[in-house]
Amino acid sequence: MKRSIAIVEDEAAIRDNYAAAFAREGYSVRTYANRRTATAAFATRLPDLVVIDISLEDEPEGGFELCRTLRNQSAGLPLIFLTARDSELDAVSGLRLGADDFLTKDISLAHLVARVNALFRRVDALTRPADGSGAVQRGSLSLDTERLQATWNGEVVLLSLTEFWIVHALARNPGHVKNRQQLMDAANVVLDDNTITSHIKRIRRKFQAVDPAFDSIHTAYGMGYRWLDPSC
Amino acid sequence: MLIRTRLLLLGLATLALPWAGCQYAREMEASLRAAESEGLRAVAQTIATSLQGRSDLLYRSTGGQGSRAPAGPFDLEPVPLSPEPQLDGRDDDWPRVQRAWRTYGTVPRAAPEPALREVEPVAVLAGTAGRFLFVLLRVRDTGLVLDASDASALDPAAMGDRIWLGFATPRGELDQVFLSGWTTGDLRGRRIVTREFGRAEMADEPRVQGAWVRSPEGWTAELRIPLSMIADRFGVLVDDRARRGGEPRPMGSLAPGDLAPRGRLIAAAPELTSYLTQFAQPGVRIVAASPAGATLAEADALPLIAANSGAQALLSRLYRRFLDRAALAERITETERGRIDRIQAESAAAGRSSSAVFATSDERRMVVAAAAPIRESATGPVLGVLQVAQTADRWLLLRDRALTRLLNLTLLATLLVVGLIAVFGTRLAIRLERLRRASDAALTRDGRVHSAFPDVASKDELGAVARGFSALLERLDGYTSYLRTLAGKLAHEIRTPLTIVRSSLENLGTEPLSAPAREYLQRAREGSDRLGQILQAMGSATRVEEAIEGAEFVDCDLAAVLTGAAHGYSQAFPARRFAVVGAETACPIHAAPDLLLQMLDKLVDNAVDFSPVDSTITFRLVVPADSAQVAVEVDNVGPRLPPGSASRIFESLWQARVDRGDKPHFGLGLYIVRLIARRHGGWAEAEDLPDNSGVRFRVWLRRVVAQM
Repeated sequence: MKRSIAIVEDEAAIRDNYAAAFAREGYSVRTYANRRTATAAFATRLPDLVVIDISLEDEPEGGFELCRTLRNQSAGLPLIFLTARDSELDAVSGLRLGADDFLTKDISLAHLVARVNALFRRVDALTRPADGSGAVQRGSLSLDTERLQATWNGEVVLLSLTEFWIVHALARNPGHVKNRQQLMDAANVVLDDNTITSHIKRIRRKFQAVDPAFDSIHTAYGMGYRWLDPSC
Repeated sequence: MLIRTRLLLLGLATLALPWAGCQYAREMEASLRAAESEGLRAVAQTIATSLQGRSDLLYRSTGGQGSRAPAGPFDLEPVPLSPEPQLDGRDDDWPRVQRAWRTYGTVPRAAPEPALREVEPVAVLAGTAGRFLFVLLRVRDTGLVLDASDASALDPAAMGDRIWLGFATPRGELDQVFLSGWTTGDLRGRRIVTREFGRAEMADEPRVQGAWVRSPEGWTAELRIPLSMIADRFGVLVDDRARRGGEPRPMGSLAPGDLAPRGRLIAAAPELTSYLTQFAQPGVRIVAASPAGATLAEADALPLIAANSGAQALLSRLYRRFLDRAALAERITETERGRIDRIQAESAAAGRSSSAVFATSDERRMVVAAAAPIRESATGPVLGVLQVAQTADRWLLLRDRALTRLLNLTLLATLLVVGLIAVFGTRLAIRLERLRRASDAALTRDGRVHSAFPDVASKDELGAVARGFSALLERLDGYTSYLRTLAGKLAHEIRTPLTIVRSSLENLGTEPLSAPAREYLQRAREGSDRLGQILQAMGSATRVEEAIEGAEFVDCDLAAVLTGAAHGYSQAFPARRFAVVGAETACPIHAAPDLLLQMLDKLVDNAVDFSPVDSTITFRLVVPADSAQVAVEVDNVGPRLPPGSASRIFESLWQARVDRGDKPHFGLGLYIVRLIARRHGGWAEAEDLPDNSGVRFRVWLRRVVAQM
């Protein structure tokens, strides 16, 4: 059975281009132009993954509204925000609402499709018991590249996809400095320096929420960041 | 000129008030004077009329008609002397009366021309005091020749200079007395008496006395003779000898042969003074004079001026000094004693009465005088002149008092006005200065606009100006912030169509296409990528502003940040060398390291773009002693700053670099530097290196910044 993806996007040309790209990958795609039609459709049937534009027609933050509604309907539904607005505030708000990823429309279709594929892989992996393959263990940190899940001292740290790949890139070679470009490449995103900085900041906060003593991501001024593992 | 100074000068215009007051006081004085003059003229006319036809009261002479004829060159008009001069030969106790002198030379002249007066050797001045006639002689001579002491006065060989007096006696006989001496000092009066058989004999005349002394020009002599000896004719003659016993050179008003007097003695009748005195009042002087103006008699009751005292006097004298000068110049100085004013005398001699104001020679006393002719009969010839003079002090005092008061008041008013204007002007100047400072500071060094203006609440024109400025600056602020955010907004708006283009191109790439179509597709992709980079750059300022808002400040070591950054850059830009100066010791600072790094990124981007390959980019940490600020300098060799760009280089969207085509530039890099510097309580500046080999960027940062 084909996996279904719903695209909620008010710009018809973009919507159709995305739909065509996903359809080429073998997904069944449904498109909605505004929150009202999307909500109505989701009430009867939920898709397997939703790509939402934040500003929808006359609602500048209609995407957030829709996200909230969907999270009420299903906690595990993969959700990706796509927006022309890449400001800090949008990112923070979107992720707080429980989006799995937050991407600007700068992203190429190939990258977008890769993201979607990765998210589906994670959904699949979560349904299977963990087998330890593709796991990275660094002291208190363990990363499951199948489930795209990070745990710290056994506790799950809820990272977005981008954040997961950043942590993964850092932790794979502890002590090695990764500059911003390397981190972007690892996460398959095009971000500017500020967004990387705020991602790092957010990652630290998420770990600190689990362990207030967390201090493993170190800033190498002018160069980038590195993972410090006190245990090795 | 400062506004305050101009206002003060304007305030000085109130000095016109005292000026106007002075004009008024002067007019008042003039009208008072006119009334006074008129009254005085009437008085003079009355007294003159009472003397009409009384030549016996006027002149002592019994010579009849002779007295009334105008004085000739040989006529002597004695001046009244008071007090009686001392008989010492000196003229220092005689009044200075230039016009009463008679001069004589060797050649008798009917009318000596004025030019001769100075050069003719003998000058005679007559005066009366009580019962005596006094004669003062000034003789221009090579020397005083004295008689031989042991010889007879009649011996011609023993004779020196000799003074002869010739006169008619009351009995109608002619008489002569001479004076000579063998010493200077006292002179003896003697006469030659012819005895029987024509024998001449010397006889002392003790009633005639005198004295002579040498003077620089020759000698002077003073003589005294009782008026009772003389009728109406009188003359003086000097026998001047070059040496003792020499030939005499006769000079004077006696006929040289028989020594008969050739002129008259025009003296006042003895009763005249007492007659005039009956009209005298305090403060009034009555003078009777000959038609030529020589005083015959006077009743003088003019008081000495009462000396003012204290500050009042000082002030009024000061005012008078300033304001009366012109008025004084109009007045004629009162003539010397013994003569009345010539113009008045002439007009009286012509039969007209007149009045005038005089100042005494010391200018301390003002006198108003009226003169009227004394006639023989109602229409007859003029016998003499009667002058009535009155001190003008009375109305002068009145005017002075009014003037002083007026001046004091107006000066006080002027001071008050000037003071008020000074206060007002100062206040105005302060407000203007405040406005000026506010307008100077309205555009800050980093290009922000402060629209807060002082004085906007005040209701006057300055307040309106301030409000106008404030409104203008608010609009300007709005405009600049619109410009600042325009790039970000534009980037956002363009992003959606760009996404359409990109995603369409990507979808197109999956379709089967001909080889040329693929090529076109590739070009379109490259173009849209470029466009994407441009958008990225355009929006970066806005994103940085947002990042700055949310920046976290921590305690860190600026030296470590700089060292680490330099290390990072040397990997990122292998074609440049990076050096760090001044970072050997730790420099603790409370800052946002992420922002500082971004700032350094922009500075290094800029430095790399402008510096040649393999050159060194130098980071320098400048820590001034006891300063709350530190500076980070980034030097690079390369071209100098474009002229005039040092202050504008940090503005948004300003760029001087030549686009190299590889990467879009919007002049946002240095603007971001400025934003970050400002967030750290500092500012950014740029300058050429001292040796002009390149450019230095300097960013000042506060060591401790308050959290936003």
